[in-house]
Amino acid sequence: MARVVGAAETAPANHAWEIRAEGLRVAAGRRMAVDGIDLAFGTGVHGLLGPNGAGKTTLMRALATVLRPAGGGLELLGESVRGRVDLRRIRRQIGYLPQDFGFYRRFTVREFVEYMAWLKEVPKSGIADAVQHAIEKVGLADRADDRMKTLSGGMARRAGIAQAIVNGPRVLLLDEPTAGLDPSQRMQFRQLLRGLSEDTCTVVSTHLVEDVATVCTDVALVDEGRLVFQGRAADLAAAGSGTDSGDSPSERGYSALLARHHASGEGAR
Amino acid sequence: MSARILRIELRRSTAPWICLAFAVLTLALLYLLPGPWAKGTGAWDQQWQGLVQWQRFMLTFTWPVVVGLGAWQGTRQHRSRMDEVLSSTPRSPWQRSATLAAAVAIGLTVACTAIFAVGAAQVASATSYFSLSWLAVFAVGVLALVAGSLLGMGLGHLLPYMVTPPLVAVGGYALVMMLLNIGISVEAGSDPWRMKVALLSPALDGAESAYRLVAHQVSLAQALWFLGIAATGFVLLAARGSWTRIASAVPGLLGGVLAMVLLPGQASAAYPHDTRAAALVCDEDGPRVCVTRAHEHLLDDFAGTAGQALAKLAVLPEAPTSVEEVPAFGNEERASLPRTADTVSVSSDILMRFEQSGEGESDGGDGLLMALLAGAGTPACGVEETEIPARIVTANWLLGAELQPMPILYPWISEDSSAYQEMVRPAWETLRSLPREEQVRRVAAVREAGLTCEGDQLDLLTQGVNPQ
Repeated sequence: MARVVGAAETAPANHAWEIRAEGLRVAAGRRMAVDGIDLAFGTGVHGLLGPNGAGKTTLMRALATVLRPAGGGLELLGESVRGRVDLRRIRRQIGYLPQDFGFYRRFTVREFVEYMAWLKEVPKSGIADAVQHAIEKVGLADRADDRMKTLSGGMARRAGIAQAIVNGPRVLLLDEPTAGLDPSQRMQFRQLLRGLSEDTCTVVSTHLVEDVATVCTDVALVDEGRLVFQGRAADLAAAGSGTDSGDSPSERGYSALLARHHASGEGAR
Repeated sequence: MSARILRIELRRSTAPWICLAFAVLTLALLYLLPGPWAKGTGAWDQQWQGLVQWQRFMLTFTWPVVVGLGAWQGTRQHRSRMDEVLSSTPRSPWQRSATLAAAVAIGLTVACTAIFAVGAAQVASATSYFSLSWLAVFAVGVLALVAGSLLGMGLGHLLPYMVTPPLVAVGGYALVMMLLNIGISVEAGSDPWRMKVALLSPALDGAESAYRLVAHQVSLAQALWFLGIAATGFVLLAARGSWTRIASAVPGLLGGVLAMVLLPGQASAAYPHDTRAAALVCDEDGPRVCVTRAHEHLLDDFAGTAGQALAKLAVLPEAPTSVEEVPAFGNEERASLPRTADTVSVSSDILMRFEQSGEGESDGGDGLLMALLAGAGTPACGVEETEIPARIVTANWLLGAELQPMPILYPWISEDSSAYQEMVRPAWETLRSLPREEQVRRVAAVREAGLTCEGDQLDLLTQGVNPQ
């Protein structure tokens, strides 16, 4: 089925990076959970790694325009989101799967994705096609007319991805998309991630290093609200040595970078 | 607003359940519970005004349910953990809320109309009297329900906890019951603010008779009040900022103030007499027989019975020559009924009972004929206890058959009752033992006493005079 291509998608990009943060600070409650991060993500799949409580979800929420930055600069699709700006134009091009993804249980999959497409201001004429396309892409076509409440955990998360991609977003934010999935579901998910549009800037937040190593072109490692490392997945693996803890090169690199960050943090104090 | 999204909300929100619960509860109350709504000339299945007014009365019980279910709907977003994903979407929460509100409003309108249709099917065959006086009352009822559900949704959204819906429903009940109690305590001449406050309730007084209206002034004031409540609920449902939430109280308060200014302070002004329904329609073909316009459909049948009654009464000197229905407005004293020598008055309630026992059936017709002849064609005075035996005896005497009780008026006096054995039968036998002229004189004396409400009618029958 042909996908409807919006005018915004075919317009030439006038910005180098889909996501660009400079000294970004975001508060989660009273705590400054993101405390001065510099980031630049272009198209491709980016892994956002870090231990629990590192500030990944807070950063994702800021990227999704749910939280307003408390300081520093954040540009999405070339537009600053600081101050009193109209976020509608940016939000139309964002897809977001929150960590704690909820849904209306009585809606069917199709109705739910359609509802989200309407909320994302997908042009009326294109909604039906966009919904069908998104549902097919996550492999839920045979369950499209079942109620959301009848879906298993893995299927519900796929429906969550369907709602995230229904507007053909240029920034796709997936927060812990593999949490609670069994190994085969995680493999399916990686497959799905590879199949997503190549001209999208996809950010996958996770604490599972293996998720990142296999599908991400690019990795950012955060800890205690700060960026520890940004580079290619191969560079992450290269950062570790045989003496670091972990079962794979990526995991050893991950531990080595975190250990170094902790050491430098303590040294600074 | 998107029609497709509206359709999804109509099917998947609690809108259909709110409406089903509301309609089933209302109809169950109307059909299964014996109550004033099934009695009298203004019963919900007898007159258009009565139907709508009793439908409004039922909001006493159903409105809090609708508010509570609305609150449940209001907690949906939080309950479904949708807050996060929704706050990243470009479409404004006002549009999202408007679609949901529209779904619930459409559902409630359909439910109200369905209940009305059930009643209308009965009313249409029960009366030929039609005026559109009920329309505003009906519309305000729908508005009150929509406003209640919106207020519930707003509160549920504001406080998205499991306890919110039941607490909101209980609070709604407490409020409606309080207003109902204030309304009951209102008497003529009491503080006008009491009546005004009572009229802020979504429920109205039921129709005590077919001859009472709801003033348009009441409907207008209530419409403003419920529009304000609806706006408050909607703002609460859609608002994100705490200042907007605080400001949401403004339309509700404004509506309340306007309503308090506009609402009448006296019950008689809020529920005026329906002079059009009470106007007399007469059959002039034979002797003059008149019924109120609300009962015009009974005139043909009634004229026959009334003619028989007049023929029976013709044996008396200065016999009456016409029969008129006297509309019972529901608040008059018996002694104040018109007592004119040339007209037999029959109350609307008696006429109704005759109709309900089955017009055309011999029972109903005979019962009504006896009721017209009671007290030799005079209304009850309700002063002396002995009046009732005298009325039964005179009716039987004029009918000219064997003595029988009069269940249509006095169902508690059966043939076995002591009143029948000790007063009715002895008086009957005494009267029948007299010469014919004396019988006529004594019955005429009872009629005289009935027209003036002076003297003891039973003494007049048994002794011919009043002991002074």
